[in-house]
Amino acid sequence: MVCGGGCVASTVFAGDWEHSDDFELGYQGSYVFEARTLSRNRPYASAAHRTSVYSEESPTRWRLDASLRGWVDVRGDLENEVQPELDVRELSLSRADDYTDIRLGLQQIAWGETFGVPIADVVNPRDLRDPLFLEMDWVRRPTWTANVQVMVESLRLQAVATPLPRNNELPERGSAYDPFPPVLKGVEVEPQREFSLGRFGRDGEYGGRLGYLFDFGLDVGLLYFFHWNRVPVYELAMQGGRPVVVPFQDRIHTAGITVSMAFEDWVLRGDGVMHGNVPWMTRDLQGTRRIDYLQAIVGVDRTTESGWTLGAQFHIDYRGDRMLTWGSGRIQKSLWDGDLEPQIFAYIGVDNTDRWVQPRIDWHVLSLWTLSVRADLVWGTTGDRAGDLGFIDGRHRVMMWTSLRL
Amino acid sequence: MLHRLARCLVIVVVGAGLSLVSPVATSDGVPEAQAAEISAAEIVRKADEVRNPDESYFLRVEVQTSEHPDRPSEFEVSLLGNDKTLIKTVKPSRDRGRNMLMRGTEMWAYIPNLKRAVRVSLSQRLVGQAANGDISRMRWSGDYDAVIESQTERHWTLLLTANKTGLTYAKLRVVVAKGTYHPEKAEYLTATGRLLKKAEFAAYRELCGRQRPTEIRIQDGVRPDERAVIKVLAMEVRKFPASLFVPENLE
Repeated sequence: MVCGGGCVASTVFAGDWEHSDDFELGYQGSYVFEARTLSRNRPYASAAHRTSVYSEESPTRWRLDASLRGWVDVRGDLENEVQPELDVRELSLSRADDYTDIRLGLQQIAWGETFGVPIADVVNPRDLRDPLFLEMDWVRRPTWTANVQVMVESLRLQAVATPLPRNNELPERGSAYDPFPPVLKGVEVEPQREFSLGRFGRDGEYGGRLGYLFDFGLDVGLLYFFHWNRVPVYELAMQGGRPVVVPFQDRIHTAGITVSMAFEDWVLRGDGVMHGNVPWMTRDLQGTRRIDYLQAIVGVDRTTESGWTLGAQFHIDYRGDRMLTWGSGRIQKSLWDGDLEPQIFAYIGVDNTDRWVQPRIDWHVLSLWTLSVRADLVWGTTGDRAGDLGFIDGRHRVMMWTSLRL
Repeated sequence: MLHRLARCLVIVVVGAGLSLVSPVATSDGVPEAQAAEISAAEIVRKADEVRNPDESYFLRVEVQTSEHPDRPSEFEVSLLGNDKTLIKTVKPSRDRGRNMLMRGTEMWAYIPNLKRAVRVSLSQRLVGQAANGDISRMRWSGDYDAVIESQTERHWTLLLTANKTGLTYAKLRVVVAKGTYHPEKAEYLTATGRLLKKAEFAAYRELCGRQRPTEIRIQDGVRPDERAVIKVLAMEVRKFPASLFVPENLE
């Protein structure tokens, strides 16, 4: 166990103040069989605090949220490089009344209804160093954002502005999930552009969402976001007589729709986004082309009285001149009054060679202590029938995650 | 500043015997006013008033199941009007953050690892025999049409039929005490009348100025050994911003 003790968790009421604290200690370890190494070897700790202030006379509330996570990762795939990180996950102040909610500061904003591949979740950049790890609270990189929401009955309007954006965190060269092909081994890759304070606002990202919950249960959201292509397109260039891979970054328009509806035990979900005029990488890295990129996911899931959760989704990508489709499914069973939760997730290419199967078991050993073990089995190719997983073909891994919440 | 929750707790602990709303009763405990005709809808509305102190209020509840009597769950429930409820999980620690929002007959659950709200069906269980709707749906008025099935000298038996889809229970049979309008028992039924669960509203105590049930004892309709008890630990009239009850703000 990782907990060193001395941890406290509480929700205390005192006058018109409400405080809550949350602490977690844990360890994540991931072993990649092909490389015979640990791609993640990470003891971590996180702390979150919330203070709410409310009035007895009016419904207005003020709230301060702060959250911090720190870890040390000793990466076997990077020659046991020690990577300490301290990540401020949230630092925001918000004011809410009956019709508005204004939140300013470092935060995450989640859009989208479907599971697995978060195509509509476009506001925050992501940490993609482990592309098989989709726990979005770990993957989303918080940004300094102004988030204004207006609600009138079933209508919700949201405006979002990030004056100083961040890039995606990409897998390191030489790591277990290095996306560059072996032929580029040793070729220098230029870093992504930094968004400096000197260009505050001018490099900004902004957009919004309009949501409406119809009386018959259909929840529809329309979204728009103007943002950087956070996974840059790379071009091969010659600098000083040697080849260099140079990132190409530009801002793009994303518009989309999200829907959900519940019928008794069933829930229908759907997300669709269109990225307009997106820079797209050529196979030989010679120059960049532009495409319109459409992504859509529709799915249905059902939770039964006997503790089964069954879900199925259909994924479509239209990339300029090529269409790709996948099917995904998840089966989960809640056992021992929720103490044991085995599940299996599969993501299979319909017209491509992608295969990803993730069996997983979560065991809530004690009220405070959870142990989770999962495997990720991935296959893909880089030929004509390539999907998206070809670059990590055969890099099967097993991951253990244990956490203690206090 | 004296917190209203503290005041409620003090009232509970001291058990002040002065009921502010006790109706005038006849010698057999039934008020004279009862002699007059009263509609089923009015009985349901008054029974709702027994369980709900205000349009907007806060509850802290503990749910104990027969499977794990030694491991109670605890929730903080914020209710606004007839159809907006926010349930925050306090215990067990591993589930902290798995919060739920209900608007009308629609429900969302917050998944901490995804850090977002996901749509769920209303029939999902909260814990053991306690469905989300048992805590989040504290008012029957508006959701159900009522008829008086039968009555005795001391009780009405009402049959409530859902007037909208998506509710946890399609029908309820409720026993309400004459005079006090205390709901005492309920049977939760399917649309065809099959018994799903039985509930008993018990442990009436002074809470927020009135005698209210502080325990809902739920028993499975088919497996009587499977039980859950929802205990009200605290109740407080509180104002909440309506913007708190939207899925975007569920966390």
